[in-house]
Amino acid sequence: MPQFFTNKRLIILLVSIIFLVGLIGFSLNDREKLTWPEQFLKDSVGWGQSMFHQPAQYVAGFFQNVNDLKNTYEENRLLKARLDEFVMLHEKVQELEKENDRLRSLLDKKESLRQYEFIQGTVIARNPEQWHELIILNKGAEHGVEKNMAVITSKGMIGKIKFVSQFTSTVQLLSDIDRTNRISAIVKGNEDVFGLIEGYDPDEEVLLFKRIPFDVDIKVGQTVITSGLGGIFPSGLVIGEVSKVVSDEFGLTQTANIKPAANFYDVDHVMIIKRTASSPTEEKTIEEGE
Amino acid sequence: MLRFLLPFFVFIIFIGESTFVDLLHAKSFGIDRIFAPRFLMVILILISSYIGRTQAVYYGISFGLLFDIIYTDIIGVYMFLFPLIAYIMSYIVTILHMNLFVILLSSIIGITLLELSVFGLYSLIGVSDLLWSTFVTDRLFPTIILNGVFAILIFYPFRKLLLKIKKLQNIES
Repeated sequence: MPQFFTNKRLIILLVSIIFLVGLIGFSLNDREKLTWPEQFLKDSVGWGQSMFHQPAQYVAGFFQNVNDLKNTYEENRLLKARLDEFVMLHEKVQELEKENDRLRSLLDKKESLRQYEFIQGTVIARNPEQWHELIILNKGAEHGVEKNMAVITSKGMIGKIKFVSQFTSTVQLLSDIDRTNRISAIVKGNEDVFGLIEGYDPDEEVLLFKRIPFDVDIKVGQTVITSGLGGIFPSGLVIGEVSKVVSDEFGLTQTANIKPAANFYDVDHVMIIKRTASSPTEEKTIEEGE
Repeated sequence: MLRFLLPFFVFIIFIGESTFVDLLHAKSFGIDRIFAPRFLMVILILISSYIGRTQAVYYGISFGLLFDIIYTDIIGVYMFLFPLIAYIMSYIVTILHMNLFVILLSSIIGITLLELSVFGLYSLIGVSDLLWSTFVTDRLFPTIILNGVFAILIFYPFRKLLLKIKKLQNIES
């Protein structure tokens, strides 16, 4: 056994450990842009992944459709009943939109935090090690995707863009346990409550909306949407609804558990949201400070 | 042409890992445990047992780097662990005879080492704050079971392929 560590092997091991520590240290900083070899590798493998993923998704979808066929009659009946509600709601929304545009033009207010354009994307891969919840989309910088854009499915918000390469991008889901993952949100009720969503509880699968003042009344079932005040997301994206309200250990603030509206495990087609209202840029704020 | 068969096959397994996690996630079946597919590690252990130590290390470095760049932002973790574990596991073959049971055992040991190292490293850096007991019950055992089943399923077909490739390489050299 002592012959295992010959000089040559020991030197190789030590050099590789030094190299490894250097590499980890370099990549651990919060980098804005990926280096170009990384982007190239991501794009090439992304191409292979998308080719492999589409047929696999098609097969899985087929099995799901066969399963769904069993419930179709019942589901159809329920949906027909709800359709009338939907038509009324649609009319009301159109009326409100028209009135909003009219009032907005009266005030000469051109931009709104709510406006956005979206880019359609498909999921081509997911992080297999499951220490991070990351999914990879087949749209990248060439299609207009930038870092920190919001990503939603038809049900609600699922995450934000973390890395961008030329033809693919990586999304960090809301269920990722990252301490820097914060979203500015509003709980819609009689009075809107502003705050930050600061974490995710994997045991109960809820997002944590912390530091609500104790005298604010939050009820279970209220919807939580993005506020747009963070500078990056538009306002109005559905995040989830309140499932439980607990007070924290000192009794000074409350924490609301928010059940996400979107399903993080069956994600296929997503929309990447590009906010059209202007965001504060770093140069401007520095100028104003001085 | 056959020279590219092995890298191509390992690449297919690499993509297959992410497709597996995307489509067959445990939560959609209602199970609350984390089944992490480590098929690449199993394949690398097989390569190091049947073809050779140095080749397995080269495959480990390149696919480890690929894995790091695409899936994580901390480069170097898997680039170091894949070749190291493949190298260590290749010594088992010199001691014991290669059959299904030995390969299964060395795959399980290799996967355990990999998961422990990643858990230790991530807890050290601060990326994850999972407790040890939760880690063992919720993540380690299911992962070992999943990859053990994969090792059993892939042993016979892959062994034939590797022996053929090794014969080809011996003829070439």
